[in-house]
Parts: sequence; structure tokens; C-alpha cells
Amino acid sequence: MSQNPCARIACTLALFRGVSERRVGTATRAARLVSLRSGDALVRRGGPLPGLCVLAAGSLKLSVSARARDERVLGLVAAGESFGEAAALRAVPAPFDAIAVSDAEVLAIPVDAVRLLLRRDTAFARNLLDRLAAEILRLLEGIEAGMLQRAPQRLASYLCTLAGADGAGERRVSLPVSKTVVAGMLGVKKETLSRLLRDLSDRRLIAVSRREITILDRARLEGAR
Amino acid sequence: MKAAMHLVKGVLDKLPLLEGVSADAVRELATQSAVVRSARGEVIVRRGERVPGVYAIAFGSVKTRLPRPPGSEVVLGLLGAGTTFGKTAVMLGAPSQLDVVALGDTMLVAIRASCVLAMIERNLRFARNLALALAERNQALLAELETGKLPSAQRLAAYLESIAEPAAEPGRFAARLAVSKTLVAARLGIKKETLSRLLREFASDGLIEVSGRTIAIRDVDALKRIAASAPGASAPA
Repeated sequence: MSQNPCARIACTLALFRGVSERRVGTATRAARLVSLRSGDALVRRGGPLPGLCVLAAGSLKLSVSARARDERVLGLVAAGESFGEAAALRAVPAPFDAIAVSDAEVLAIPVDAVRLLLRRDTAFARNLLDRLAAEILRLLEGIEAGMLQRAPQRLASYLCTLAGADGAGERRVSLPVSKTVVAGMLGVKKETLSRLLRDLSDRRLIAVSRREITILDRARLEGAR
Repeated sequence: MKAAMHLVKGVLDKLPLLEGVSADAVRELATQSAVVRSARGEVIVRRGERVPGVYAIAFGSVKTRLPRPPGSEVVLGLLGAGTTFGKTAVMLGAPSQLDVVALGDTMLVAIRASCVLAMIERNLRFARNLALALAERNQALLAELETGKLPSAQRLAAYLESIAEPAAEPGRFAARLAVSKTLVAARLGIKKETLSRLLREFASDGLIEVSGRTIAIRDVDALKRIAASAPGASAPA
């Protein structure tokens, strides 16, 4: 087993599943760990991405802002997940802001090492393709949600996503991040989010207690307008 | 049969996705491919349906759209000869997120999904080409997500800049609309009249010169400034 702490972390990640320890060791030889405090930016849009990034610990949000004060959260990254694959492969500047929403540790693997591994390792290529494809699907869903659905529908479908697949009955979910971040993710103002949550609880579709939300009537929530 | 095989191989040989991939591998993909012909307006792939494979456009063009009631579709992309679609759905083994519709008489080659997946396992060059293609798509969709909410003048400026190519004279650029203005308008999510008005405004400001579908770009820097401009400064002064 490699002594390199970066390699030890990388070996546990989905992106390196099926890749030999030796190759993971080589790929992460020049990798570095970046420690972030909550609120720190790993990178801002247009800045140099430190490579293909994997969140070793903590949580992080990715966002774009087409205009000042119009932030749009692309997604939240949880520990063990990678991000920035597409930009790293294409060697372009960061297409998003990456901001820690809790204390976090990011493993950054330099682009050259990623490309070299992609030339040599089938399992890595396959994992990377899966990640890129999943990301495309997520972006398409985001575009569709932004273009076509209205804010109440976006909130309702977000809550249903949090609740998971199994349907009927009461279900309690808790918002994984602050309401401000959730509002950004849904592309609405924080006040709008609060109003929408109030509307839904007035209609007895949900009950809200801070970040804890109980879904009272999933069927009607799914059809909420 | 032999003629069809020849045709398929000819199309695959020219595909950027297969650049640098060994002749043997291309031949193998060709044996697992079929020619598909679509007439104008025909839906080649429907949202929610399984995609039989990766499609390569031999000639003609297609649009990809998020399906909505007629008249309010959202066109996400316009693809021409030499490009491919269906890669994401094949990778994920998932149904298509998009409708793909032929814009004119179009000939395609469909490479069977199982063969594409098997080739990823065996041919690293193919896997790498596919990864780069998906990364490019990622970047384009991210840009779409970002510009989706911009005022229409900024969207048009960004679009023109993205399709502009260097013209014969050094320092000059030209953009050629590959499709009708109605479609470009749908692509940008604006009304056709708005597109026409914006093109007129850009022209009278000396930014562009429109002649049919060809747009000579006179001031690419000004266009870039509009594309990146702050709210309130969206309309060219």
C-alpha cells in the first residue's frame, strides 16, 4: 500500500474503482490536498482549476452567476464525489465557482496525470465516462427545470427527490444545506423560497420545522403548482 | 448488403469521434451499424425511449429539443454531418432525455449500443475520444445553463460569437447560420421577430452585416462586450 496520503484517499473513490493501486499511486504522485474553511473558494469561475478534483471530506457547492446577484447553484458535492472532470479534460479554466459550505478537504489531481491515466487504464476510462455522462444528464435536467418549470414545481420536485423513490406515507426529509443555498439551487430568492415553503405548509402538503421538512401528502406535492 | 457496409464504413472513417482509432476497430463497429434515413420533420429519437445506439450524421442535419406542446419547443442543439448523438444515453443505458428531429432529408449511421460499450472496454483511444466528446458536451450545456437566463441581446451576441469563424480577410470573422432564422430563434429561446429586430439593431450599430444566412462580423470585440455585459447594458446603445 502506498504511503502517499493522496493515493490512500483516491483508492477509496468511485472514480478509481477497478484501477490498480500502482496506477492510482502514479496518478496521484503530483496530487495535492487543499484544506478549505467553510466559505472559502477553491476556485472562482475563470480561474485555473487545480486539476480533476475529488472532495475527500466536507461539502462544497458549485455555482455560476450569469449576472451579479443572480447566483445559480449547479449542485452540491458530497465527500467521495469528484467534480471538474470536463474542464480538467479540456484544460479550460474553471467554469464555476467552487465554494466550501463546511470545512472541506479537496484532492486535486493534475490534468496531465489524469490524461495519462486515461490513455492507459480501461477501468478509469470507463469510470470517467460514466461520470461525464451522469453530469450531462444532470445539466440537462437543470436546464429543463430552469426553462420550463415554475418555481413552486421546482421546489416540489426537489423535495420529492430528497425523499427518495419510495412513495406514499409521511416522510421526513432534512435540507442538506442552508435555505440560502437551496434557494440558489432552485434559482429563486431566499424570501421566495420561504414563501413557497409557507404556501405548501398552508396547503398541508408539508410541515416545516427549520431544516426538517415532513412530507404529508406526496401525491399532491408531486402535482403541486 | 456489401454496398451498405461500404457506405457505413465511409461515414465512420470520417467521424471525428473515431479519429485515430484503428482500422480494425472501425471495421468492427461498421459491422454492427445500420443506415437510417429520415425525412424532414421525422422524429429519430423520442424522449423517454431507449436509444438503440450512437448515431452519426452522414448528411443532413438534426435538432435536439426538450419536447413541449407544439410551438413552444426548446431547441437545445443543431447538429450537422460528422457529428454524433445518443452517446450519453448509451453510456448510462438510460432512455433519451431529448427528442432528436431531422431538419431535412438526413442519412445517419446507428452504431449498436452493445458494440459501443464493448469497444470502450477494448479500445482506449476510442474511450478517450468519447470522454473528450462528453467533456465538450458538458461544457456546452453548462454554458447553456448559464446563458439561459440572460437578456436576448446577450444571448444572441454570445451565440454569434460562438459560431463565428475567421473570414478570408485577416482579422475578420463571419458566422453562417446553418439553419433557418426560425430555428435559431427557437435555439435562443426568443421570438423570431425579436431575433430579426436584434439582428437589425446589431447591423445598424455597425457590429454585423447580414446577407441571407451569412453574417459578417464587423466588430467582434463589441459583440464580446455585449455577450458579457451587465444587466441594464444589454441592448446595444
